[in-house]
Amino acid sequence: MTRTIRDGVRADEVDLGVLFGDAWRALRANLGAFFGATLLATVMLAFAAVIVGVAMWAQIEGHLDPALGLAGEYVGHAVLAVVGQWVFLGGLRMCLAALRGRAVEATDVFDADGALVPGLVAGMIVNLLVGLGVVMCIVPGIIVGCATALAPLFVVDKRLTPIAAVRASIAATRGRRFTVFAMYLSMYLFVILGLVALGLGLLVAIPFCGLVLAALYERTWPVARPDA
Amino acid sequence: MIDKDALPAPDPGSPAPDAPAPTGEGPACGWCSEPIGVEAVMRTCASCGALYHRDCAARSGRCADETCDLARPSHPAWTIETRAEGWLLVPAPRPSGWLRPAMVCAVLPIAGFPGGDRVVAAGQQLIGQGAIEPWMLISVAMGLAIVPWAAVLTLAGLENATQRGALLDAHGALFDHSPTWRGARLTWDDMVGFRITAGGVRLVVRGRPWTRFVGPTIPCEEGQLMHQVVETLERRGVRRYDA
Repeated sequence: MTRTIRDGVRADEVDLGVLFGDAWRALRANLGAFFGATLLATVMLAFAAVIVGVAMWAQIEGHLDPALGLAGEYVGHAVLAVVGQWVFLGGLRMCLAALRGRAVEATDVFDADGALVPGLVAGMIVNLLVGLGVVMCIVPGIIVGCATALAPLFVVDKRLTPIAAVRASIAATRGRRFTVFAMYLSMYLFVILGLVALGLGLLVAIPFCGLVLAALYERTWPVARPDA
Repeated sequence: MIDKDALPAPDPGSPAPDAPAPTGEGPACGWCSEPIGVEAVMRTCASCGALYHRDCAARSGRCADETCDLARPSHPAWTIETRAEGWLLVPAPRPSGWLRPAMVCAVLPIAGFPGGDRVVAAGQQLIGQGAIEPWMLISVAMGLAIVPWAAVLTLAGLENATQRGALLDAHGALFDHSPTWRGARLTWDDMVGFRITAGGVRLVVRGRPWTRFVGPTIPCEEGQLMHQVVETLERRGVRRYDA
């Protein structure tokens, strides 16, 4: 493995095979916990989605005043976003723990450990940047998306503030954004395969994707600047 | 660019070729397992306290214990001895009581925004019923879209400027530094001055005049720590603006 120092970050030559290998080992060692966590997260998200669904249905059927229906939708979407981010951050934390060889349980998916608010804000900032990039003919949006892929992990693991996490992710992915892009493409492939397998494959595909992202983060470790 | 692998990796099981000759009994070096002998040639890992020969520590650049935080140090000064001079660590403050709740209040309207088509549909329905005027809808929609975003970005910027731990070392300030993350560097050359504020010592950055009012802040209350920070900055030629 070739190692170079670039902008203070040890840029290991991380290929997808290495990331998939790390992720698969961690998933196999904690298969039950990840199955359970994915099921629990799905149930939570489904409950939150019910609020949105009921508000929309009532609005369409004319049971609710348009303003009230819209307010209901508003609340439902907010709950859905918060719950989604909660289980996403908890899931990433769980993935990191599994990759580091610690024992994990299904309920760990709800343990965002105080990172929920900064994680939500970091997610908003990333969405804003990606949205602006997409407006500028899509490709910049993809590049920004790859550059900021590790931001939630920096929030969860290093407790960085949202802006610091986004900047840290941009620095950490420098020189390996194509790898991140290829990683995202393969994640989509896994999710599609999971859907094809009657949706049950998602019980493996979703935690596997989280583990691949966490494995990339784990292999981006900092070293001292050579001139420091 | 430096190829780190070009450096010979010490083998913990065999004596390092340039390790100092043992000068007597004492604790064994974590890299070469030879007795360290006298304190003058000793280096101590700042995280786990493992002991090394000075040369072994300098050559490896890291702690030999793979479970230690400093097995992959984020700063070259990873031993207590090398940190003895010019190393001032200012821990991150606890998040202020109002900042996080304010962030939640700003984030929820964005997270809950139902999407443009739904708002337009509901608006058309309301206008059709004569409940509201079109300008009211436009005004509300703009407010709902822009105000929360402005609030989120302002609060995130404020947190980023005032709520981060800092490390002052020979090269400048590192914000968010931890044993496992190198942090964001502001060199001594980047700093043109500083101001004392209620939240700590605010650094004024070269080429960024707004940092006089909103800038990276080393979080410390008035007391010995602030005195040390000010003393360190003044020693480095960073001048005080509010004196």
